[in-house]
Amino acid sequence: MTAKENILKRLRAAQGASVEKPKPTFEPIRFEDRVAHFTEMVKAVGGDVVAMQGNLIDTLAAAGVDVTNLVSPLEELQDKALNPDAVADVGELGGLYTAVVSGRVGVAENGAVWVPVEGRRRAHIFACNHLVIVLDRGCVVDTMHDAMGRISLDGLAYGAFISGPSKTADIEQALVLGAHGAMKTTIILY
Amino acid sequence: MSCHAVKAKAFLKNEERALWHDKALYAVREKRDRQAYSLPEWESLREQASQIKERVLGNLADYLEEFERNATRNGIKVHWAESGEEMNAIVAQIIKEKGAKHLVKSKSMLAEECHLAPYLEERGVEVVESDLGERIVQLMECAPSHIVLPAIHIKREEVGELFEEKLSTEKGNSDPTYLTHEARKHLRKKFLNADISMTGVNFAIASEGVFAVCTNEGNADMGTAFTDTHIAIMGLEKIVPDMESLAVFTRLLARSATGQPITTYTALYRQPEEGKEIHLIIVDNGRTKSLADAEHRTMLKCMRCGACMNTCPVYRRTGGYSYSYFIPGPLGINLGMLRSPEAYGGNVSGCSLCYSCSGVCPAKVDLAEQIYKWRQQMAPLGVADSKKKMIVKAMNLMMRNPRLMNAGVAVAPYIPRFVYNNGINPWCASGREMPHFAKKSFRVLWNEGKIKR
Repeated sequence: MTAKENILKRLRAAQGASVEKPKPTFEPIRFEDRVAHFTEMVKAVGGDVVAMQGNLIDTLAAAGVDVTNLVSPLEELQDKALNPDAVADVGELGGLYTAVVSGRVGVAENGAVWVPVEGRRRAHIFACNHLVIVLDRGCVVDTMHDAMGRISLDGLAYGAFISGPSKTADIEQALVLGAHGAMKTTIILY
Repeated sequence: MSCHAVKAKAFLKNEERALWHDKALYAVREKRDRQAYSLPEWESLREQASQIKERVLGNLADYLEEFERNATRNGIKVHWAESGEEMNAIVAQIIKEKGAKHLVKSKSMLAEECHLAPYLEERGVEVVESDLGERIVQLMECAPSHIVLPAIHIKREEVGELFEEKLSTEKGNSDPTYLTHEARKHLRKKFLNADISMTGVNFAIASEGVFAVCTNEGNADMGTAFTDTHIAIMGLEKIVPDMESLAVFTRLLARSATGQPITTYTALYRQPEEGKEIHLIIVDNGRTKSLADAEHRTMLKCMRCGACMNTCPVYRRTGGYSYSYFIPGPLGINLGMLRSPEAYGGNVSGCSLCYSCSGVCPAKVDLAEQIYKWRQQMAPLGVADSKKKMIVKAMNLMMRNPRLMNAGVAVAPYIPRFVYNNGINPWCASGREMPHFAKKSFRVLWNEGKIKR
């Protein structure tokens, strides 16, 4: 017998009677002003939220981003930014730059944004110094329950909920931003 | 003295550090409380999580098969391992096939459980821990002392000295921001140089064949983004049925663990990128045996948040190294007993039965009740302290005989204290005074009419 067969056999002998799937028994929290709560939470987790002012490139410049050093798969930045899918070797994405990506769902309860990766590469999301996520303010939901209902995994290789910049408190519980990934995270709401 | 008490004594020698440890962890517990109180549905969420896990444990074989089917369809290569040795061998085989030499890994308790890193290092593979806390303990050549905060027992000055030696940082600089950013530079090179990556699995979603990896640093995702082969390892209890269940667990995990509303990165791995591979190893290593133990199978509901450690008054005051199992605290006491009562029975005394752990567990595992049950099982399992066993037998004899009992109680106050207040008495650990016997027992006072109704 294979390891799998042995394990499944032992599990079937050990697991006992089947248990019913529980029904949700509660109404998740609702926020009066979802976008305001989302903004507050993003700031609480070390990120920033700005409103789109005119076009994207102007908004980036106004947010203090060096617009000559961008990596982005976004259509509208194709003449201004390096497309991560265009690099031959992923190691080229290991340097210092600002990455601009598109978010699909914002979660008010925790400041997380669902970032699906539709292209080939995703290294820029983690290796960048500053991560900028562009998000439709109409796509901000209350809780993770709503978010899971909104996202689609079909055809996707990878996606992540990202809540603020990379952080650690592994040295004496002192919070430090930029452990590995983005030192800064900015959400641009349009 | 139990092995826990002996080791705790060593930890308590440095009073200042012990006090710091206690406070630092309690601060994490308080952060957890603030998050919990901010959600009106918190208790319902815990109940929901607990019931979902019950459902998973009662239908685990089917869920694992469903998960494997969907993951395979997505292009993930699924392996099964009955033991830690089998898991290690599969990992080594994949690394060999890929001709890889440099493995960059994120934190996995399963890897610790199976001693994976030393196994690979013996076979010439460089293993780099990429979580900062894990990297610190790896460079220090010591073990993690907490499952979520591996370096919580280490002071900044010690990290400064360590980095000075290993990473050539500035002499005498122990600023956490400086040290973290130096580690970032050091690990960035390791990420770019790695040829294979490894992560654990926080949740495996059966209905999707997708697995979730949660980190704050983004180290797991850095590793997998820059390498062509990703090996993920998971204990077989990590299954959740569907995305709605994942919502429940992602709401509980970080709030319970560190008092954050969610981990910075909650990554969902569904499919290898073009030209890449994802291998996922489903590991038993004693878990089916735990599931068969009706008294203790509830431990398999644990999601490894560490909340039980942060709240535990014994863990906070004695540190992770006081426990003989690699996972400390209420969780480790229980998992150690499931692993081997003979090897880890000494930990069960490291509990005051305050039940605080049971009160904070997001999956409502009754950790303290479990420890209490283990204590009842110590004698039948043959791992009880022989001296205590003998004395309890004598006490039993005495208490069954009223004349003997009354005589004993009458004589007790006149027995010189050194007879029982000494190191030979197994209940009289150093630093603990035995209580004084009353001159007159309650029975005597009652008979003299000195007790008013």
